[in-house]
Amino acid sequence: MNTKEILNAFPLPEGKILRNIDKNACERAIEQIISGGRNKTREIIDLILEPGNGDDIRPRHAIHATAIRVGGTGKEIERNSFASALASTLNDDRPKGVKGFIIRQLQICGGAKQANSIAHFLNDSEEHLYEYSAQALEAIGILTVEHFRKAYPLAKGAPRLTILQGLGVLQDKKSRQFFLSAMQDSDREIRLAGIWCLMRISSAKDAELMLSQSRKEKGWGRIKATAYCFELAEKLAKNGQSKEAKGIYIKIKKSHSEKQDAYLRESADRGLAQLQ
Amino acid sequence: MKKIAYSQTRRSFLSKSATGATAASILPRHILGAPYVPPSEKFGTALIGCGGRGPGTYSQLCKGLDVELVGACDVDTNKAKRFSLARSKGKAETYQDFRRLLERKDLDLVAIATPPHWHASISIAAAEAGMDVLCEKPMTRFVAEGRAVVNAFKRYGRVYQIGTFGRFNRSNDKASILKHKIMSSGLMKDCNAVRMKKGGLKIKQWSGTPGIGPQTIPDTLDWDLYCGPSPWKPYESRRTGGTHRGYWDYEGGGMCDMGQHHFDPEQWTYAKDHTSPVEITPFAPPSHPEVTGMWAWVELKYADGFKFVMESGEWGPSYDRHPVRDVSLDDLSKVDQDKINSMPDPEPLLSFGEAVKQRKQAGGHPEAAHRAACILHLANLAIRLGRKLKYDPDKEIFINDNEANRFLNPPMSAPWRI
Repeated sequence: MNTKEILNAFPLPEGKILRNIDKNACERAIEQIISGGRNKTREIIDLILEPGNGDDIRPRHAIHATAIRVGGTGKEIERNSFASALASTLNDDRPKGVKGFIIRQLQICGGAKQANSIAHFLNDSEEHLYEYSAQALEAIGILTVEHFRKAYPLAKGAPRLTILQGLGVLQDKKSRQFFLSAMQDSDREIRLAGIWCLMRISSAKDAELMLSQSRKEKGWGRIKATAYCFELAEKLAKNGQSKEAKGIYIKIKKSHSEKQDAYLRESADRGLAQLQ
Repeated sequence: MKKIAYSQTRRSFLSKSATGATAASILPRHILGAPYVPPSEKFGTALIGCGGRGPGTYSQLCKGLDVELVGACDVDTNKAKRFSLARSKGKAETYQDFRRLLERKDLDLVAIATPPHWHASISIAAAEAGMDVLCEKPMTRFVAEGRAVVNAFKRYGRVYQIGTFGRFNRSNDKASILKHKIMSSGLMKDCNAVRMKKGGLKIKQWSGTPGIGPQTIPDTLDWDLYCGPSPWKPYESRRTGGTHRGYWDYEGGGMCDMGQHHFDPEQWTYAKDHTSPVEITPFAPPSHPEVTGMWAWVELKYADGFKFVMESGEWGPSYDRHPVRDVSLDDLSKVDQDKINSMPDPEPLLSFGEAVKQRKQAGGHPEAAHRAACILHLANLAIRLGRKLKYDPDKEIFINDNEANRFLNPPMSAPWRI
């Protein structure tokens, strides 16, 4: 099948939706894309346009369907081959909106071997590429953590928060100093992300600092910071660190002494009861 | 922030009595701490997500309770204003950002009727702020969100009710109660029952429209906040206002729009409130990256052999893997039948209002709502992935399928996280 025949297997909207879709024809087309290797993938990627610049419904559908179908046990060779082909197109001169789509497909089928190509966009603010890049790397998992560590000190603006959060998603204990510094940041969302990241790595030794910060925060910040302290206590209890968990619950009870905090004190009591 | 005159409410009376303070002091319900709430007490309420199902969801929140609307919130300011006008003559404060609303000290109950990609994050935040929640269905957008909601409501001892109520009728229906007893008894081994839902899942109605392209964002809409935890995409009007249902980023098609209505009562009837299917088999064509589309059927098998089947009736072949048949007392030995007949009926399910007053779990509690939402999410993932999936209902992960697992807890856009 040539590229046109492959793409014609995928439907165009009828009455606004993709109602007439031929499963067998699509599956055969996907097999052709996989067996066509890097060149076939590139040919189809070349037909994907910046959103709003024309009709690319079929090429997007074909690439996504292939990214999905190379998943699962026993497809490692096809998956790596297709993901490598996709990643190689990120080096080309393409619109950022198209690169965003490619990265999102790598979130589905990419692996550690493609991480370098994806991580190149961690600090790229255009078309939210930093966000797509971080999410794809987070989906691939812990093997990508070094990219976040390298990108964070260079990050500014929106990517900074996203990369910091990524380090928390990956529960990177080596980034503890980043998290502690973030907790003192002037930006509330960075501070909250710092507390959340410390909770994610179950950092018992930082519990006092986290509690202290939760007391300083106001409004939404206080709600979330306190929640992260509760979550830390639960994680520590689950890890067998009952003494540390107990300390957190007791301190929450003491520090949240206002009338409107009654439910927090009750929650701490429930946590304490569960420790026994 | 606008203050409500609370001089006529029991809450205000308690507040003044307790503190001897000024009339401006408002004591919210969740600080009283007592399990019993006198029926005269007035609850401060708010609606988050004021378009579409919003007003209906808010009415469900208020049933059987004395309430005062104190806040209306929507990422589209026009919708919040319209709701405030309609339900409080404009007295209720309007918000575009739910975080500001949840900072209020006079709020007890929150109705959530945003598109589903926001349900979990807002439900959790409301619990963290000490509020009880009635949330529109589907409960969540993906599996890990549901577990986070369950944990949050357990942690804070708050009441949660999902916005579907079919299980309340089922729990009063004799035939359903009998099935519930049979399935919850543990006496049914190697169950061969197949429960079919054919049609009614609005597959075509809630399929999305691909390839529209970016449009101008309305002045009254905060588009970035609308996208929230979901991946940011260029604004298209069909991604909002009801047609959002046809996009993977926000809901999951007719399956997620209607599925919780259909399968929440079924889940209660067949006693599956605390577990999930172990094997999911789909028949569906390759899905589009952005919009939901066609599928033929999905079979969801539980550990005891019981199966739910969904057949769209709108595309593809009919389901023919197993004959459809219901659970029957005749499936059991005479001895086991006697055991079933001597079992007490299950406890009546509490409405949201009663649960709030009694500080007990509502009928549509978080674990049940989560497990019902999982039926839809697992079915949709099998449809999207086009392959049989094996699922561990305790660990809530797919077995030997790392790529499938990426869809159970997809990364959120910062600053949103669970």
